[in-house]
Amino acid sequence: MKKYMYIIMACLLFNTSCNILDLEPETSWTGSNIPTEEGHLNGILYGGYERLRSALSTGFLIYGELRAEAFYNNAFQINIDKAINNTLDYDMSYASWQSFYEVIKQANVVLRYAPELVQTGAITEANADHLMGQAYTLRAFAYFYIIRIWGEAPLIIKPFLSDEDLEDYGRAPLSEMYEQIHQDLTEGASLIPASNTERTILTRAAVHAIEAHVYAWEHNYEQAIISIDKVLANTNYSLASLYNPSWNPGAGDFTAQVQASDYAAIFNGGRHKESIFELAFNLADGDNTRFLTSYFSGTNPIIRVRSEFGDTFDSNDWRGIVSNEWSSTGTYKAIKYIIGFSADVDTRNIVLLRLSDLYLLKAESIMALEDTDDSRNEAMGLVNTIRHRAGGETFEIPASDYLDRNLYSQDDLIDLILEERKFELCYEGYRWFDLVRTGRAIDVLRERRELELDPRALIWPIHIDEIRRGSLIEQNEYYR
Amino acid sequence: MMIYNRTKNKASFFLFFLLLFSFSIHAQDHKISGTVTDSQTGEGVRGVLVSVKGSSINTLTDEKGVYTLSGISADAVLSFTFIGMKSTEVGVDGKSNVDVIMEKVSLDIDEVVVVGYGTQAKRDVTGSIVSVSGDDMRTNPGGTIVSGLQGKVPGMQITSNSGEPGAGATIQIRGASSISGGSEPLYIIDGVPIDGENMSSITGDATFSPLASIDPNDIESIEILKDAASGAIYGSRAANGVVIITTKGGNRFEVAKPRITLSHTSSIVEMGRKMDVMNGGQFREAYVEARENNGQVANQPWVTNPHHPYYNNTTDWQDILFRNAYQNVSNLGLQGSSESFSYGISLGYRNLQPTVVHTDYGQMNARGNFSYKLSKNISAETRLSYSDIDYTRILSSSGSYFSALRAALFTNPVFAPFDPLTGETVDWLGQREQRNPLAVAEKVPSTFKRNNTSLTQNVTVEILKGLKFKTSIYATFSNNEQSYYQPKTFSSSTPPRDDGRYQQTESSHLVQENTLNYSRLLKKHRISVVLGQSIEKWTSNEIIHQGEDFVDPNVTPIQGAARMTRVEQNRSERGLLSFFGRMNYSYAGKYLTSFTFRRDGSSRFGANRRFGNFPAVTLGWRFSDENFMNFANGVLDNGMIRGSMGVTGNQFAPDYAWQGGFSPATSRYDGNVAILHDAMMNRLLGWETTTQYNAGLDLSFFNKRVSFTADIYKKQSEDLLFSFPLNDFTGFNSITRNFGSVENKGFELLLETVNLDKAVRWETGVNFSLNRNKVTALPGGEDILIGDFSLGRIGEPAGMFFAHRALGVYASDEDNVYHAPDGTVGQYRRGSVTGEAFKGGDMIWDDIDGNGIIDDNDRVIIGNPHPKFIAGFNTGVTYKDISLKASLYWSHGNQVMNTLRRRRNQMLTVGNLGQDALQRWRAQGDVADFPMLRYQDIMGNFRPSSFTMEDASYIRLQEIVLGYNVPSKYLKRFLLSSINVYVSGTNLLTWTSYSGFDPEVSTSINPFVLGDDNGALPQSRSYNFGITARF
Repeated sequence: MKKYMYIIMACLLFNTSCNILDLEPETSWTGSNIPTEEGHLNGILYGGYERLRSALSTGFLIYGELRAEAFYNNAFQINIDKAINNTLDYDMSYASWQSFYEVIKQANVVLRYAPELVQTGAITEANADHLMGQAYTLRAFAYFYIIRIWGEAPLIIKPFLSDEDLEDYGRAPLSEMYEQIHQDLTEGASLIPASNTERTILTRAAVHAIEAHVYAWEHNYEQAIISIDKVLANTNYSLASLYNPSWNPGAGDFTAQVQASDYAAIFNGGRHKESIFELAFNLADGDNTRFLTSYFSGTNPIIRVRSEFGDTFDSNDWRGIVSNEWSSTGTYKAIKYIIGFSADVDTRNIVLLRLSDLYLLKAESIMALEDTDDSRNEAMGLVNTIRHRAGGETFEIPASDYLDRNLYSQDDLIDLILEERKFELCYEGYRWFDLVRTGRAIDVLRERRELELDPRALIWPIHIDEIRRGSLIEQNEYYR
Repeated sequence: MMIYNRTKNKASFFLFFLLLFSFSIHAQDHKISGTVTDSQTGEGVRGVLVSVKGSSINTLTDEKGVYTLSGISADAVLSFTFIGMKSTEVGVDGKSNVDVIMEKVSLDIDEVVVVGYGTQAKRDVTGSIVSVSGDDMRTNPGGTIVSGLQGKVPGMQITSNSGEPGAGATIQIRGASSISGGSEPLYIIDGVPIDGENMSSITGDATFSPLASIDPNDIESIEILKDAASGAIYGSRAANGVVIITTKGGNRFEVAKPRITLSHTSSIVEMGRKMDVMNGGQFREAYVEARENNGQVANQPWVTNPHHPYYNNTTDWQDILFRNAYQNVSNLGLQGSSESFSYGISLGYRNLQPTVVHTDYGQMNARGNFSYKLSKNISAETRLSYSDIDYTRILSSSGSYFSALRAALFTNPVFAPFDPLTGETVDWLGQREQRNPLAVAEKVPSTFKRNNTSLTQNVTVEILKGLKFKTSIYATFSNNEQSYYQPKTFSSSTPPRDDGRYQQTESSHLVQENTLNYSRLLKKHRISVVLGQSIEKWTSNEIIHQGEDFVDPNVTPIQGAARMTRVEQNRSERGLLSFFGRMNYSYAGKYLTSFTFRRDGSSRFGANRRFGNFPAVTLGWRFSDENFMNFANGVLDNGMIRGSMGVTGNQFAPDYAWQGGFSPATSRYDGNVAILHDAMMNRLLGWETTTQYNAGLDLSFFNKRVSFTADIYKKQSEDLLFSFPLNDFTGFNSITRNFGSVENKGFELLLETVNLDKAVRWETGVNFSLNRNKVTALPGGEDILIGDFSLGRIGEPAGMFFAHRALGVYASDEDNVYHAPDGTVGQYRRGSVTGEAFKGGDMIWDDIDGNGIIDDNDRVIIGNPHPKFIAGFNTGVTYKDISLKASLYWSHGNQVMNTLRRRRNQMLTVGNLGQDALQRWRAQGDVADFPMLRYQDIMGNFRPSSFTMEDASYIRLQEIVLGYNVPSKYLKRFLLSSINVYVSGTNLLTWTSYSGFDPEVSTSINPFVLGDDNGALPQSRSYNFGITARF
């Protein structure tokens, strides 16, 4: 009798034993049970957007603005200080490219699994294409930031799913990186359906806008123009309006009127028809960091606009009213994103790509390619469209001026366009990259900030931990 | 009430005997009486069981030790038994009076130690096991199991993480063998493994040890299994040693009357040490200078307006934030047993008020141990315990701006905590420059509550003589609740935001275990065998809520938040399946051997790596029993040579580490759930194994007056489990991997002597241990740097300090001259060819590669966080009823990176400095040891370096206890059997040259990062008074 009992007991134990060691998480997924459904792929792709948001929530200012001439450090924050004074250090947290690689990581997982899920029938080919198109574009976009910030970098195009996948990577040559970016963008453009008109995820128009910037960065202006034209032809995007002859600059409610304009709504309303791609921020999403609040608003924002910069806005330029607030104490505050802002409950989407940027980029490309009367007319036509919106007809630059080669050389016109970009796109994370792309950064820092920058310091240092961990990763020369 | 019960008891006994008497009166008619006395005190012993062999007649002695038995036969044999005394048998031989003198059991030959799944005669132990009595950890209220063990066990290095109540500790038995989170030994309480893993606070600033849930008063004994052969029966979790804790009561079937024990200890507790800080004037001057050296002008009102009543103070914030606290501990215990039932019940309350203002700590403990015989062959045990901790704290580590410790040192001394006009506590100091730490302490509550319930039930069946089957179930449930609220007043953002958090963690641990035990003595062969199997399962479920914009800053349930900023649930499980066996064999007590084998399977590892085998073997030879040693009779009582070899393991890895993971992000993207790939798979993840060789020698002389134990060991740990840091380009921070090997070798000595044994008894115990640690393998043979300065390099100890070497301070700018190999002359520069040149007042760094640039390549090994040796010294003197005990702990030759000091000097924000900065370089030409102060330390003068590394050797007078036993003649009429009173001092003196709060420090959570002092509450000093009364 006892014997049987032992046998029964042994069987029971054996049974439970197998179960007790085969445990899988209940509140998350393992590497082997995801992604198996369309929802998983969607989630992982949104994870990529979420990581991009995390990389750029303050990064759009740190990498895109602070090194240029607009801001000064108002809060004794040591890292802000280092960025603004262009004394970058390899131990700054911003010197780490990890968050961009997190975007790439998420994209790589989508690209790896989407074809498999099509095979299993878990997702339709059309839906898979849309997801993969976005993933390709996200990856390209992240690499484009990496190139602009750090230069050469490891080129990771497959996911690290398990320990065996890990290998040591060195920094890939720029040419390889560009090749990969273009390839990804081409894939993105062909896979994302043209019908998609959202603005918080990457659309075909966004692909072309990114592509245009990549080409411009490579100084391949013909291609840049081709890409821009593809966006300009898209009726889903049109310029916001600002200048209104019926508003009286002398009137008491004029400032309020301008700040409530369609143009101001690009930054403060969200999903504006001029916006091509913006990062979605929403308190309901569980974002508790409210970056814009601490950087721009309140009595002690982390950064403030230098008065030398704020003063350059023409009084007829209504964009100044949308961008800056001048207080009686003689200080400027960047208000572009915080008009009507209640920092307690508001967040703003951050617009990364918009139409007027492409207008001016096209103008720049045209002028960079050749200097003829035709090209001047075409380029300045675009510039004047933007200027007209900012200050009406009188604010346009007359053809008599811009065609006069004694008044404007080819370089002067490019400078003028660049200056126009400064006013149009201020505080949006374009400025530093514009200066580097056009080769003006060192001169501008010397003239406007009295800073002498070594040309090798146009890129950032790679974070010291990355150098210490990866035997093949070499520090950028200036920071060695 | 008590008296009534006792009389009632007595009456029933009386009736019982009357009854017995009436039955036996006709059979036998001999009557006998006598007195049982204690051989040492000469006084009567109460409660001795006097029984007639071969019959059921028995009685107990009264309070004078007198017994009477009637109706027995004249040639009967009486047996006398009493707990703690040697049983004796005496023939009646027709006498009518038999007096008996009973001897206390000498705690040597018959002493039994608890080993895994059983007990063993201490004499027969062939592994390396140290036994510590629970009495040693009860003399101060804040005492814990861990602090009670410090300095008592050779080879066991204990470093408290903080002086906070319930704080965790870093424990290393025989050196750091694991470099993952699991350097803690395995704890077994009454046969049940518990998790020793520390728990993190909600704000991530402190860790708490689950061992704090155990009341030191409940502990009868602790055994520490140091070598692998002893620990191998616990296989996969024993690589860092095993600590076996046995609680009191409910474990012997003997007749013993109920004994009530009441004890109480009261203490005054103070901070062990204060750090020196600058006064208002000194700091103002230093700050202005630090700004000037940075090309800045300090223009805050407190600088420009030094006489203003808001700014003319000199506040030592340590005095504001720390206090002397009153702590007390009370316990009530009841123990007793009969031949078929045994019980031990205890209730304790500990009020451990911390030395930080506005904090409070209360702990309640209850325990019941019961064992009972169900039939002749079946017995069972039931154990219940409950503990409850309620701790109101403020942040304690120096990492956070809200932390008390940081605030005490970093807050600007020119400010005062109270408004000079109204006398009220202000929320902010200066022009909202710093938070008033006193107001933060008062208004930012952080609570930590934990309760723990555990149940054990087992049944033992004696199937055949010597063969026992035992089946046990054990379950423990704990619930941890933490909350935190920071009101809007302390927010620096505009508009101000508040932050409330609530976190609940429920966890359970279930064990089912079956063992078969056989032991037999056949002539000179003693054999005992254990076979067993067990299943364990752990589950935890954590819920985290974080919200803001609370409707009322005083009543802050989490649903009082207008918005939730984080809602998260994490559930985790793991399982362990084990089979194990051990055989002990000894011949004539001279030749001893044992074989152990355990096979463990863990859910934490990849399918093919799941099971691990852990064998061990020991050998012992008691040469003192050999004939050729007869010449030493009377001198050498016992001499044994031991040797052992065994394999143990470590399974400290995240629960699902091998499977990789995707999890939902806490924030969504545009209303869509985002899934993040947060861990990579590692199918090859498996056990970390440690192979240990141990050789030992036990000697005891002159009737146990001198006993000596020496052990020498070598431990090789392979496939170390480690959270391996990855390159950022992978998009991951780390992966759990088996990586590298570490070797520890060393020796341990323990010498215990009774120096005097007359009217005055004087005992001493000295222990000494030395361990040498060495990294023996790393992936690819490459160095690995963890944290800022902890190096792993083959051939070097783990966690060596790897940083720059400071050579002094440039007296003037011209002193910085670099002679390049090509003959050119330049200046030493920081970081790069284009980097800034060092100036007068900057640190002179050792340019290892000689290229004139001070960068990462100039770092070298500058120090060792491992002590050269540790030693403990315990002594006790007893004269009649008075006893005096003292214990010292000595750690020698280790270095500590004083990160706290470094961060103060860096002046990343406006924060006060130490007096050492008064010796700073101030102007060109100054010859100084301390570099210039420069706001935010642009030149990295206070980078991790030999300048901030210090020798942290120390000798600590851990405790002095003066005790007095009130003679029993005064007690009898109060129904007391004994009263013991004592006064003691804990942590009275520390001799050290270390400049930080406490040389005993380890603030890093990463076990590879040793000897980093990032600021933690120092061990407190306490003066205690205690009383223990037994009824």
